[in-house]
Amino acid sequence: MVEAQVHTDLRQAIAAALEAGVEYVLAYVEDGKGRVAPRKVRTAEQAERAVFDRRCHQNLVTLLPKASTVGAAAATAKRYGIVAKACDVRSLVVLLQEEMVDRAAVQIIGVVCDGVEEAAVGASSADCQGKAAPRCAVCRDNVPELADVVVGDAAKRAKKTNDFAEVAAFEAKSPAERWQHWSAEFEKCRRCYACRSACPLCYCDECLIDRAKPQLVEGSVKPSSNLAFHLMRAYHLAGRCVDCGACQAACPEHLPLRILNQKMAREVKQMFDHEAGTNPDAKPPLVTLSHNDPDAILKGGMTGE
Amino acid sequence: MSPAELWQKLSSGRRLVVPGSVNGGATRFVAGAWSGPVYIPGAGTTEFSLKEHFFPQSDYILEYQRDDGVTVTETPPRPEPTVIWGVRPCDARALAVLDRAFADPAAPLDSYVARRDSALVVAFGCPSMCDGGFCERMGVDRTVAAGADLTFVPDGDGWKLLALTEKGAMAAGVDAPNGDTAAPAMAAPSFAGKEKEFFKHPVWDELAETCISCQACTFVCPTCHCFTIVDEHLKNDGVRAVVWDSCAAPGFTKMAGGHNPRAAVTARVRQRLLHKFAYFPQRYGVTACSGCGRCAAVCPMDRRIDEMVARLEEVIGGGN
Repeated sequence: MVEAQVHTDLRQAIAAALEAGVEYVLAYVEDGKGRVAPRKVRTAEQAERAVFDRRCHQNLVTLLPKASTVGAAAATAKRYGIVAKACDVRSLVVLLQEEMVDRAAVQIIGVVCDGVEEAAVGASSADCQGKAAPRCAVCRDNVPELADVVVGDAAKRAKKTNDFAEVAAFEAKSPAERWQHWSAEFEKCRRCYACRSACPLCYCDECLIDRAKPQLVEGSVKPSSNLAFHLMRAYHLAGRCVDCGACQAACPEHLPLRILNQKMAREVKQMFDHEAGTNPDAKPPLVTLSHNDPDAILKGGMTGE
Repeated sequence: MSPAELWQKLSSGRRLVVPGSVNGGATRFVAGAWSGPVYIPGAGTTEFSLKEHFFPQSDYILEYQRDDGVTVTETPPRPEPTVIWGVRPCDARALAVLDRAFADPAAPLDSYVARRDSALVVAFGCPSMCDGGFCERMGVDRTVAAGADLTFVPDGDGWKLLALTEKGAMAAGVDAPNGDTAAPAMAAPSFAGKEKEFFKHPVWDELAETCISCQACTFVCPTCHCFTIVDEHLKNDGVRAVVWDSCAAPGFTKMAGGHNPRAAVTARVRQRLLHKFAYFPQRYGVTACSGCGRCAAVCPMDRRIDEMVARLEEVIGGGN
């Protein structure tokens, strides 16, 4: 399917959503100067400038109003449209499971995706050319499930099984090497929290990291507190992260944050056979009590196998 | 004097700070990042700005021990003589902004002043506009780096050295600056005096609609200078640090008792724009944006401050 057809269908879908009474449609919009950026599309005229191509790397689910921030009642009183890639929809599935978003309040315009490029970070440095987003190499399915309408050629569907090769390669290193790697990486963190803000699933009203009393993690930049922040975030995303890549794309220091989340995703897959965001009806494993739980604590205490 | 000659002259007895990166991270100004002969910067800016050399992300200002009483020891910086080499006009101009905030004789930040005094800033004008930058739009002369001590001005295929301060002239052994090289007053956008009238205008909602409050723009910004103070203690010892804060953060204005006057993203985006383009010019006579373009490069949502300013000019009118 040629790009022009994708754009025609996309614009029609956005216009239809607007006519159906959504407040706005979160979409990627061309600014007329060759640049594309996320926008809240409110008019048919704006919809005419909507596009979807390799430049559309952001996860717009991050911009979707959530019950945690606007209150459950307000979140359901209005309806919103969203243009979403398959990975974005997977993050939305987690929000639906966690009751942060009401399915009836979202019109999902799914787009078939051939992979995207991340050009935003470092655009003023020498390597400003768009690079294929690393997550796309392990995309499990490029056609969004659950969408109200799908734009693009669904025949181009490509399903892959994530073998977590990146994690395995990293784990093959010695503990000393791994420690050295992360010590060097976390030394770079400036604690701007762009990773947290860009994450569609980091929606806590107050992050533990921001608490002053009690102060759980120091607020200044030092490797130990930087490490505490990133590990805490990785744990909070265990069984939830769908590898949309927004955190890593947002990091001004280019920290390889995905691998932390991928490590947790692999643990959850191995222990609970759960892949976040793939099945809206699945119960998230970390809020499910099961007699088949592999954790020894449910089989008679900490001493069990 | 050529860049090579000046490099030769300045490089003994001083720490040399040039564009580079640490552990493959973002590009920034790094001590000892270049050991070859003279360093000539390539086009464009570093990803992080120069400000962290004068206003570090975490500046530990005192330490304390608690025994019977409390012993407090101040830990002021003891900066070595430094040359910061390869600075671009946008960053030089940004120093002039930071100087107004932190080197104001009425209320100086001593650590900032000490770091500034110990450093000689050597800049290179830009032969052409870089991708993503909009310095000229912000009234910055891209050829003469006002705000630096010494600047190389593009001159055909080469460079012409110009001293902009007495300090620079003395270090290089060239003529002291005359009136002609003072920072040229170029028109920059300013909405000073109009902020009250337009404070509740719907344009702010429009400008804020895709901001995710992530703070990355304020961290890479060469002029953003908001900070907070944190105490960190373990048993009986502790330190106090000045750390970067950001008006983009939802909790930035949260008060004891829980009230937050800028709880809404619109209020925060408005504050950042008005601080740069109304409050700062009103108080100090200079726009607090030097058009380096880093905020746009780093923004996860590809928001552009130059376009926001253009939109404000449309709505509020007469930006310059």
